[in-house]
Amino acid sequence: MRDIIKLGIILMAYSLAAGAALGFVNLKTKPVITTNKEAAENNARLEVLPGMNGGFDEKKAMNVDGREFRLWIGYKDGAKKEPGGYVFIARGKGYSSVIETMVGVGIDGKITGDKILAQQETPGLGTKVLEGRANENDPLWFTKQFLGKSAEDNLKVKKDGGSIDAVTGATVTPRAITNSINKGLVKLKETVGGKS
Amino acid sequence: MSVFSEFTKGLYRENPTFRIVLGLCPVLAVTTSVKNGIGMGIATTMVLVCSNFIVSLMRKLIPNNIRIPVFIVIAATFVCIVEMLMQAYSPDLYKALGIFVPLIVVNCIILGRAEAFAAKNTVLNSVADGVGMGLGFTINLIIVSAIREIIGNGSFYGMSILPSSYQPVLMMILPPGAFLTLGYLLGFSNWIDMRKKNSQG
Repeated sequence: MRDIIKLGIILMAYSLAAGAALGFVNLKTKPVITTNKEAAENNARLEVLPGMNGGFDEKKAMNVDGREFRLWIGYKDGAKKEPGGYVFIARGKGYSSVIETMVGVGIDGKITGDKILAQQETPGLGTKVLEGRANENDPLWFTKQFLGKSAEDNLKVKKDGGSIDAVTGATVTPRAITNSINKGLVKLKETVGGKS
Repeated sequence: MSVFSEFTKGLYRENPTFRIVLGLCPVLAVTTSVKNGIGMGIATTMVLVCSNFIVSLMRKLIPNNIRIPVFIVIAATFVCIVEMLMQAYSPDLYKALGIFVPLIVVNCIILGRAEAFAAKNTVLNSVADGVGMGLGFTINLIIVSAIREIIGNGSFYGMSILPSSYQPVLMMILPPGAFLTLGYLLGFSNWIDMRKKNSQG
């Protein structure tokens, strides 16, 4: 009996030491991690919607078919009077994950850039949308197709009668991305349409 | 045994994957590309060396009855520390390895080496053992992922190396390809072993 208490106390001492070490490292690294994360997020937004030197303001997320699409308004200068464009994160159910795509939309309603942020699709099939196709080593070939498109284009993959090239052997992933972007564009037009 | 021989045994004689058959989970799961294999290997080596160091340093202070929970606490602490440090000071590396790092806690090589080696040996030998085992593990990951990436995707470290007329065998980078590759490699290493024994005896 006394042994159990003694061993318990020793184990507790080890756990306390481990906890203290973790707390210390966390204290030191947390501010750096937060800054990194914010800078990375801001860079991602700038990548899809360039020239927004005034920064981004997060707005109320758009509700599209029960999924939340986060939404930001970008400003060209610090005065933040006239919006310079919009950024939203489209979310669509793919084959094995919810795919998140960040989309930048200019004030004219046309896509200025888009980037796949998160996905866990089948490696080698669905993930082809992130890789170069055979004979053309351009990893952005899929997302590039959306540039300059707007809500009026009613984006669809070719298999559904639209204009977006999909991936051989994988239909679900490109379709999910295309449909989520299209729905986001339509919703964005409804949300901000009156103002622009 | 000398420090050097503690280091080299992980490379072949007591190779973690092909000889002691430990830590197969990451060998199967992350070897879809050479890049992932190398990343996982480096991260595991870092944790293995740190945990071997601490376990051997404190081996006389750890009561025998509760050594396993203490080893796990030590390994988990290092995994968290490595994760936080990478996230803060090397975000690019973290982005590439992020999902694999927490998996290292459950890698039985870490616990296996703490129990089988570091708990009974000096600090210097234990660190040499950790570096050797980690390096051996990394090489195994590279071998398995190279075979899978070349056959399954026609590329090596993300670069296309086979002519575009080559039709990649997709199955090789899907889970069944991992089992097939590992099975053949284990069979091959056992075959070499048997030949060796036969020629000696």
